[in-house]
Amino acid sequence: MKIVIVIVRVLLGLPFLFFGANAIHPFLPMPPMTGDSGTLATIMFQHGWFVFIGTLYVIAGVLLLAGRYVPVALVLLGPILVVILLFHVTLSPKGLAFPILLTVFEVFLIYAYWPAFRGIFSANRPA
Amino acid sequence: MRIVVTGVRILLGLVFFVFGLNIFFHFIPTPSPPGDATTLMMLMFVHGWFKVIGTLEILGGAMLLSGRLVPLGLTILGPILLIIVLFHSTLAPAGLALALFWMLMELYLIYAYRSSFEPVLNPNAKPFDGLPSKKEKGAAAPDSVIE
Repeated sequence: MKIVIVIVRVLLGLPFLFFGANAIHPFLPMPPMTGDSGTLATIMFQHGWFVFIGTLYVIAGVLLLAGRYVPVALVLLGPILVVILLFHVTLSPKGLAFPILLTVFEVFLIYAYWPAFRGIFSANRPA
Repeated sequence: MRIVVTGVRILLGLVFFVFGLNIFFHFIPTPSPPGDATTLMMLMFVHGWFKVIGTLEILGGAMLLSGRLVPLGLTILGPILLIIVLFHSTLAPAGLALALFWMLMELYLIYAYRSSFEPVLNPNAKPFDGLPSKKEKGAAAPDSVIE
């Protein structure tokens, strides 16, 4: 079980480190995007959103690969994955398989690191 | 101090609950500056993103208002607020001050409820051992001492 967790951690960390670096300093050829997905990506690119999101990708990817602050990395990637899924479901259904796979990894790791997240689901009083 | 926490919790909850409902029922006009801000809002509206965001805002707002599952409500609203701040700082600066004010309230509540979030910030958080028998025995593991 422990080895599976390490493998999934690395498999989730690597793509986010890679694509985060690509979002900050594009080195992959950008596929021409047409229609609404192209408009959305252009607006996000022009106003620096990609650099911002790319930085979060890189931070989360490094933390997952290093095995330090893993729950923080999962908290960063959770909402990012929700939006990636939303983007592909509504605007670019062809690329949906890979984000779904990454989401499965994310959910598995949240389960694996559940002790760190239990407090969020408690009806706690303020400290 | 508890009264301040309650006040901030209700105020932030109310804002998201009302504006979440507004996404579905449009009872408050929400102007956005022409140009990229409006283009982005239109895209999100046409493709139903606002329905998803509105639902999350209502859920998060209700959790803060009711005082039940407040940490989960803060977890849902945190990333939404981050994008609201990003949106205003890059595309619609007029609303930035207000957005930062809500963000400040969120951060204050995260601090007030820090006991729920501290385990997330543990640098050496370990995955739990999937086997139930070992889980009971390993109760002394550092990250299981949450309560």
